[in-house]
Amino acid sequence: MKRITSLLIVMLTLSISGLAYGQDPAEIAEGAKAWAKNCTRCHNARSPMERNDRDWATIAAHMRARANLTKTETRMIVAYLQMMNGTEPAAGARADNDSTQSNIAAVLEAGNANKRTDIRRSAVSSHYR
Amino acid sequence: MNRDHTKSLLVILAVSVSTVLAALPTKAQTGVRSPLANTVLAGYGSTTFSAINNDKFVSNFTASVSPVILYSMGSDFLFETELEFGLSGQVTTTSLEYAQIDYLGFERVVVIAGKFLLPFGVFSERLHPTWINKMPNAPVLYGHAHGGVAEGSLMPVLSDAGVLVRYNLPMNNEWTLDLSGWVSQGPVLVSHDDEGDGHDDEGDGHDDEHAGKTGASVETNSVAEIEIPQIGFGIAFDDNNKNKMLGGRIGFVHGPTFEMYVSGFHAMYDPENFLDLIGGNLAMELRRGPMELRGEAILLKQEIQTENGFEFMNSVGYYLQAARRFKAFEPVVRWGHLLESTIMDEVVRSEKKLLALGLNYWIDATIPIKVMYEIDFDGTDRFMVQWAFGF
Repeated sequence: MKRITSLLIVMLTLSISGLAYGQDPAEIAEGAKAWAKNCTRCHNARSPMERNDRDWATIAAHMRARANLTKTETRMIVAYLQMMNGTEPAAGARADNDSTQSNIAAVLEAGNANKRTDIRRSAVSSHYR
Repeated sequence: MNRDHTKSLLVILAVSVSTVLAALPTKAQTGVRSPLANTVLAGYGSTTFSAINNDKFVSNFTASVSPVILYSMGSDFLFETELEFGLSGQVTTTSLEYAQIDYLGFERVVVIAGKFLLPFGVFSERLHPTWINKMPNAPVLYGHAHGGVAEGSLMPVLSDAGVLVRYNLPMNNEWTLDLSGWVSQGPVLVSHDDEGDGHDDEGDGHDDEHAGKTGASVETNSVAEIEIPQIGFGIAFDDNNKNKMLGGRIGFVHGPTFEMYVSGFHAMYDPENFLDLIGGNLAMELRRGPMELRGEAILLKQEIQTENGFEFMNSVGYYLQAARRFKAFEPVVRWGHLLESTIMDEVVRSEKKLLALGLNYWIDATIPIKVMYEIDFDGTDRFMVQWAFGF
């Protein structure tokens, strides 16, 4: 009985986590890649923490029209940004002044990872200092 | 009823009441949703100090702000608009840079209708916002931002009313074809009554000294006296003729390291539909690590009526820009060259060469402080400092 209860609790937790992010890790990883490939073509990468989930969905639609992205790319970028904006930067952190390219490399690398936590850690550490 | 039962009943009652209260429709749920819930405010602004030393030292502070309003109408429609407020001469200027509805329901196609930034080249459409442009002013190709009359340059930042369709065509995993085609009102012939105020709007730093021969009579050796009509872009919203501007752009994109775009347009600009205006643009961008190299070239062919018939005035210009990030600092070099404009090999507009040396300090990813010294090989040097911000 105890085992069944524990199993149920674990399943419930995973389901809630999945619902909270609403996307699978592979899609978020692809979103990280698409973000790094496209968003820095014209300007510095903006911090995902600047906006809430709804704002990012609208801004991504705006950028889709401007940068001619596909619907899928846009959806994945939104998934990535919506996941990233829940992460608090380290104390005293601010948007990175360092090379945008070093951010891109780190995020692309992170984008290959399958674990959400890995993506998160790499991208945040590369994006903020 | 024993004590345990009473406890259970109380718990069930509490849970039931909470559930019912939570399920009760509130005004926010049943009423009309605030449009602000789907609206995002973004944009950019800047304040600029500019100084020239031509006979006497002249310096000027100016400022501008461009709020962008995005309104999402479901997942497939987006309304977006950008306003601009700036200082020019003795007035506060306002302009509508774009106001467009985007249909985003297709996987690879975006349909845009309204007033939009024309995808002619790249600077005009994507790079001109002050927090994105790495220099405090526009390259020599582009004059007054956001429509108007090109003064001291080939054209303004182009924005026009019409319909634009974009198509994203993947070539393989790395390369994408970025295709755009548009039809819009097109440029108009500007009568002298309609001419701009001649002021240097929004600190773009381009004055009129090299543009004096546009829209004026020019004496040449073999073409006698030629009246060169002045062309306005996005300044009249009643089309002055039956013709529409047709344009397109093909981009080869290997993001974020390489991009190349070829664009062109054709339009008639006079009320009688006689005079052609043809534009061509080649833009490239290379990015390697913290290095960024970009350039753009424009060929403009403007048909003009002379005593000998119809002739084309040919204008060519280009700019190259290199930038490199060193932590928060970013040195930038930009070379711009407008070649002589000619009609039947006669020079009707002198050349212009500008070398700009800049240093940016990025306070934040969207807040640069830009310092620039621009050498004009045929005119007056310029010093500019700009504090820009994107939000």
